[in-house]
Amino acid sequence: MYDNKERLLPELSASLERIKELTGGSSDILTNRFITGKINCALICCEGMFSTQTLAELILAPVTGIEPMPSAEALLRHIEDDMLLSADRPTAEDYSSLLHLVYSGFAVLLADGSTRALGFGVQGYSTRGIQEPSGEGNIMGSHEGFTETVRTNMSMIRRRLRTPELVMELTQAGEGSPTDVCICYMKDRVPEELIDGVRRSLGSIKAEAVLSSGYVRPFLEKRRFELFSSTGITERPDVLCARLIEGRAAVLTDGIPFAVTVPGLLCESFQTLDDYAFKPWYATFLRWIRGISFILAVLLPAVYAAVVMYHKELLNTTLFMLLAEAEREAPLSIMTESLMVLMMYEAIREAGVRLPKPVGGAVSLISGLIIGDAAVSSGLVSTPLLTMTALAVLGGMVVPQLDPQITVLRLGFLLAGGTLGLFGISLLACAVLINVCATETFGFPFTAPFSPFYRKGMGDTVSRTGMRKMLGRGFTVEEYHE
Amino acid sequence: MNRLTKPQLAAVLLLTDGFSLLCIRDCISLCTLAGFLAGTALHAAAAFLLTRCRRPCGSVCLSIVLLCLLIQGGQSYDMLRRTCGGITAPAGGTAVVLLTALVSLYAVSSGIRPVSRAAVCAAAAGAFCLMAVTLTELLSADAEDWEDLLYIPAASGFREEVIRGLAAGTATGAFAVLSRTAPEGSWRAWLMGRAAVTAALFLTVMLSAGGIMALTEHPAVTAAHIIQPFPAQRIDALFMVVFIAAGFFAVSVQGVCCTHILGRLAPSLRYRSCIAVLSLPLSGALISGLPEGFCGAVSLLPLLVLPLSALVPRLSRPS
Repeated sequence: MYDNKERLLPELSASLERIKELTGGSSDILTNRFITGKINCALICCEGMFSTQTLAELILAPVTGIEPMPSAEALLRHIEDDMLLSADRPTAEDYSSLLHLVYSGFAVLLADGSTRALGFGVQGYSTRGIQEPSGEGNIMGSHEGFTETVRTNMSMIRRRLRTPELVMELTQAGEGSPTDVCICYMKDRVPEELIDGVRRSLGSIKAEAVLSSGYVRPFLEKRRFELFSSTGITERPDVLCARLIEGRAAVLTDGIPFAVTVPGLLCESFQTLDDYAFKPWYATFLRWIRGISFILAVLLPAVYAAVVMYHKELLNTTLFMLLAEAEREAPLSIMTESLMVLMMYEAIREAGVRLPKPVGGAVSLISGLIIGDAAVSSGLVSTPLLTMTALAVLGGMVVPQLDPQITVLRLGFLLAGGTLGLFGISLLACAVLINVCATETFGFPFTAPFSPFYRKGMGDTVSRTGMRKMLGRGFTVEEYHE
Repeated sequence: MNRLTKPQLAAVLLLTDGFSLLCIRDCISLCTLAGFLAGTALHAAAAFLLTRCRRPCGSVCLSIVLLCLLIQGGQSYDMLRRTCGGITAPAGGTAVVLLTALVSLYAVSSGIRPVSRAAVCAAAAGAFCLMAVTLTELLSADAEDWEDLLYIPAASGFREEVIRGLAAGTATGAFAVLSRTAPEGSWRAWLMGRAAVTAALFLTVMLSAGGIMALTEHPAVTAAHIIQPFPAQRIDALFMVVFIAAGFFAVSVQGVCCTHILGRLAPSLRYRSCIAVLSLPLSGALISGLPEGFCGAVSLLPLLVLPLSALVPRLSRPS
C-alpha cells in the first residue's frame, strides 16, 4: 500500500493527476467530475467495490443539487453537517487515507480548493452468502458459518450477543495492503493485558497482505517451536460467542471466514457446541470417545509395531498366533509396511483435497478399492496392520482440528516404536508432553485445566456437568492465567 | 525461577523419588519398609528445618547443593543404566542413558514450568498404574500371602535400611532448589506422597515376589514380570513405560535445578543447560557403586546446608 502521508493538493485537477500517478492509471479507479454549488468536484470510486444504485440514489442525486456555495470548504461542511447521505462518512486529508477509502469500497468526494475529501460508505461488492460451515459439523445448533466479509461476521456476532459489554474494535493489519481486522471481546470479563497483547501483536504484523488466518496466528503465539497452536480457530459464530462469554478475545479478518480466538486450549479441540444440546451423560461419553480416538490416532500404529516387533509378551497366545500368521506372509518389516500404508493414505488424502471434487471422489474410490484391496490380496500388506492403520486414521477424523498434529505425531511415534519399541514411544511421549506443556500464549497455559490443575475446570472438560450448575459457576478463562 | 504450585512441586519430587524406588536393589522386607519410612521421616525433619530457614543462600551453599545435585543426578542415571538390564528394552543400558539424556536436554532447555506441568500429568498416570497394580495384588492376596510377608528375610538391620531409605531420596537436592518457588508447606505433600508410594510399592512387591525375593536383583522389576492383572497377559512391557517416564522426569528435574544453580553461580556462563545435562550422566559413570551411607548423607546435605550455614556466617555470603 502507498504509505506516504502526503497531504491533498487544493487544486482539483492537480489532485486528480496525483491520484492517477499514485494508482499507476489503474483501470478500476473511476473518476466522475461534476459541478455542484458552483464548485468543481470529483467523485472517486473503485470499480466493483461499490453499489451503483446506492451511489446514484443516496449520494449523486442529493449532492449534485446543492445551492451555490462561497467556497469548497463551505460545500463540504454543508454536505457533512446538513445532509444525511450515508451512515459511514470518514474524511481523508492525505492520499494514503484517500486511496485506502477508495480501495475499501467508499465513494470519495473531492472539491476544488479544499485540502480534505469526504468519504461515503457505499460498499456493495459481491460476496459469498452465509452458508453452513464445512469443517465444524453440528447437529442441533445453528447452521450459520462465517463469510469472507468482516462486517457481515461482526453482525453475526452482534445478533447473538446484544449487550453493550461486547466490544468490536475495527483496525488494520499488514503493511503493504492493510486489511481490516476486528478485535472482539466482552469488556467486563476479558483481562486487560490480553487485549493489550492482542493489539500489540496485530500491530506487529509485517506481512504485505493478510490472506489467511496463518498470517495472524503466529503473531498471537509465542516464537518458540510449538507442536500445537496456542490460539483457537472457528468458523462458527455461535462457538465464537461461547468463547467470548468465557472471557477470550477473538480476531476477525476481512477475507477470511475463520475467527482466531485467544487463548486456545487443548480441551477446546474435544468440545463441540452439540455437547451442550445433549444430556450431560451423553456429552461426557462423546468427549471421552474423542479423547480416546485422539490417543488411538496417534499411538495405535506405533504400539502395534512395537508390540509385534519387541514386546510379544503383551499379547495372549491366540492373538499372538493370529498376528504371527498374518505377518509371516508379508514380505516387508512391520515398520516399513506401516510407513508405506500411512504415507499412501496421506498421499490419497492430499490428492482428494486438492483435485477438483468429481475427480477427488474417483481418486478415493480407486485408492480404497483398487490399491487397498490389491495390496492385501497380493500380500504386500497384512490385514491386521491395515485394520490398525484404518482405525488410527478414523480416530484422527474424530478430532479434525488436530489433524496436522496427529499426522506428524503418528509418523514420529511409529518410527520411535518401530526402532526402540515401547521405550522409544515412552521417551518420545515425554518429549511431546514437555512441548505441549510449554505451549502457552499471553500467560495462558495450553494444557489448562489439566496441568496446571483446576478442579473447577473439570466440569466442562473431562465431563459435562448440568447446564444449571455450569452457568452458575461464572467461569472465565482468566482463572487459568499463570 | 518460575513459581510452582503445591501439586507441581509434589509431582516433580515424587517422580524423582518414585524412580529410585522402582530401581531398588536387593531384598525388600517389612524391615525395609519401616527403614524407608523412617528415612522419609528424617527427610521430613530436615525439610522442615530448611523451610523455616529464611537466610539467603550464599555461593558456598549453592556450590554444595550443586555438588549434591550432580551426585544425585548421577545416581539416577546410574540406576537407569543398571536397571535397564532387567527390563525388556530393545536398546542397551548405555544407549538408554544417552537417549534419555538427549531428550532431557530438550526438557531442561524448556525450563521448570513445562517440566512441572508435564510432571503433574505423568505423576497422575503413574499413580493410576500403581493403584491398579496394588489393588490387583491386594485383592488377589490370601491370608497365607500376608503371613508370608513376615518370613521374607531382611537384607540387613533396621539402621542399614534407614540409610538405604535416605539414599533412595534422590529428590532432596531438587527440593532444596525448588522449595522457595512453591507455597509454604509443600514439603508435606511431597513426603506424605513418598511414604504412600513407598508403602504401596513395597507391599505389592512383597506380595507378588515375596517367595523369590532372595533371588532377585531388582525386586520391583521382578514383581512387574510376575504380576498378571489379566489371566493371559503380562504387563512388564508396560512397566517399562512407567519406568522410563519416571527416569526421564527424575533426570530432567535434576538437570533443571543444576542449570538454575549454574545460572546463579556463573550468570555469564553460556550453554548452561547443555553443561548440566552432560555432567549428570558423566557423574553417573564416575560415582557408580557409591556406598549407600555416603548417598544417604548426600541426600540430607542439601536440606541441612542452609540451616547449618546459620552457624557458619561465611557460608551464607550472598552469591
